[in-house]
Amino acid sequence: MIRLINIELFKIVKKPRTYIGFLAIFLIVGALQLAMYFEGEELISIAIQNLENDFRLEGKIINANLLTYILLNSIIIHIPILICLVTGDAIAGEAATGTLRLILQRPFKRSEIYMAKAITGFLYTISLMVFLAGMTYGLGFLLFGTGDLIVLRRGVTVIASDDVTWRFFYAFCSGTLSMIVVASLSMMISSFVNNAIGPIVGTIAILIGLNIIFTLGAPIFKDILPYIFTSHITKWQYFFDFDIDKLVLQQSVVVQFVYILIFNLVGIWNFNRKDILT
Amino acid sequence: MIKWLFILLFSFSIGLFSAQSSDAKKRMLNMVEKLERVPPYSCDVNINIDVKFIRIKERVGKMIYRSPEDIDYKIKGFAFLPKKEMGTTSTSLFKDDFIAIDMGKENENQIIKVIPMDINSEIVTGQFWIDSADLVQKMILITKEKGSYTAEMNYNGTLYDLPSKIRMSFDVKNQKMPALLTGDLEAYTDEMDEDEVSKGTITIMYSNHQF
Repeated sequence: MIRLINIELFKIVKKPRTYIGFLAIFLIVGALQLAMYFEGEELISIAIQNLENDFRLEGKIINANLLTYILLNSIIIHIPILICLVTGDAIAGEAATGTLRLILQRPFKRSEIYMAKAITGFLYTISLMVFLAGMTYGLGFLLFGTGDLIVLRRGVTVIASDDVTWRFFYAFCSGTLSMIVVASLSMMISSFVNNAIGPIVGTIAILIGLNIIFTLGAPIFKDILPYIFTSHITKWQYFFDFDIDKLVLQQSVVVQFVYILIFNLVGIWNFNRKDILT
Repeated sequence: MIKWLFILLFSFSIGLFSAQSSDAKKRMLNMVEKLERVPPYSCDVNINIDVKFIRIKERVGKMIYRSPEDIDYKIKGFAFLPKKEMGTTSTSLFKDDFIAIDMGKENENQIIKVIPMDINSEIVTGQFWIDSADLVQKMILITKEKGSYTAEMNYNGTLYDLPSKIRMSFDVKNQKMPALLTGDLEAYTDEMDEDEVSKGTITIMYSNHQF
């Protein structure tokens, strides 16, 4: 199994598209932080203009913590696209180029091959999230320094700068888990099709579709929302509440693990019975 | 006959009113003079905020006072402070001419209502509760556009009769941030509050004064 994972890792490292994700994060984070550096005060004052009517705000609002928090929101749409570029290509890409037939001739079980590809996809997802965390905080720290974090979520929460590190750690862990769900989904779709575009477009279409349906139709679907995986993508925000709702977060972890399990089991099941015709 | 009686009564009331106003005004001016005699100083401050939609722990820092119009705060981290109007209006209220009316007593405090003569003044009216030691125990300021502010003071014998604690209450409008801006897409599922106005309070404790 480890040998298979090593082979898959080697393939990922050799593929130029692997680096598109890192380059895109570098550009997105760089562009946003530069924009905040030059226009940040104005942008933030739009968000807090109501507060400024009632209070005199003392202290630095724009800092590395705020920018990391803002950029962590990019996991809703941007990061899934970058993840799908690699994970969606894992099986469908090989089917399209004809190398899947060669791999399956090797003395490994199909489920082992699928699992190796899935684990490699998860490792890629984790590395992308670590890069996002390092890049947002590192560049933010260089440009703006640190400071208290102001979270504009259901009111205003101010978290002291010495109280944010563990919150960000768990928030990134929660975000990474959500991204692994996305990676599993695109891997599953990848096992159904024979071209790499399908899983990428398919996964993103599902994400955007579910986001729109369950955001706009939230009052109607209120009861099933906790069981839809897209509603857990923003659960990391709960780590920035004063009183953290542990039950909701535990539930979120369980639901997401169940989704990872279901997507991978369906993917393995389909991969095992798949006719390789290309 | 009724007409003469009315004129007499009216003149008497004017006389009484002016007398009360002049005493009250003198007391207010004395108080302002006392405040202006306070030399520049710095002190430690502990700031606690109690507003429905704001969650923030106690903030500590330093306050640097140079004049009633020039007060600086050096707070560790981020803090919500009362609007400048609150700190300086009480003194700016007395800069131009004003009317002071004695409104009687409440719990041993004399109540004085102050109305600025300038029609364009931001403060419409102010009411002060002053104790026998000429210390302001409470004041309420009604402004044209920012609602009303109430401040209650406590003293513990600091030099120049500076307060050791001020509790300020004011009207705050519930803040609603666009979900797309905050990234809180789940907010759509929550019951939306009315655009209500609630009372917010900021309590500041002053200690270690250094003149």
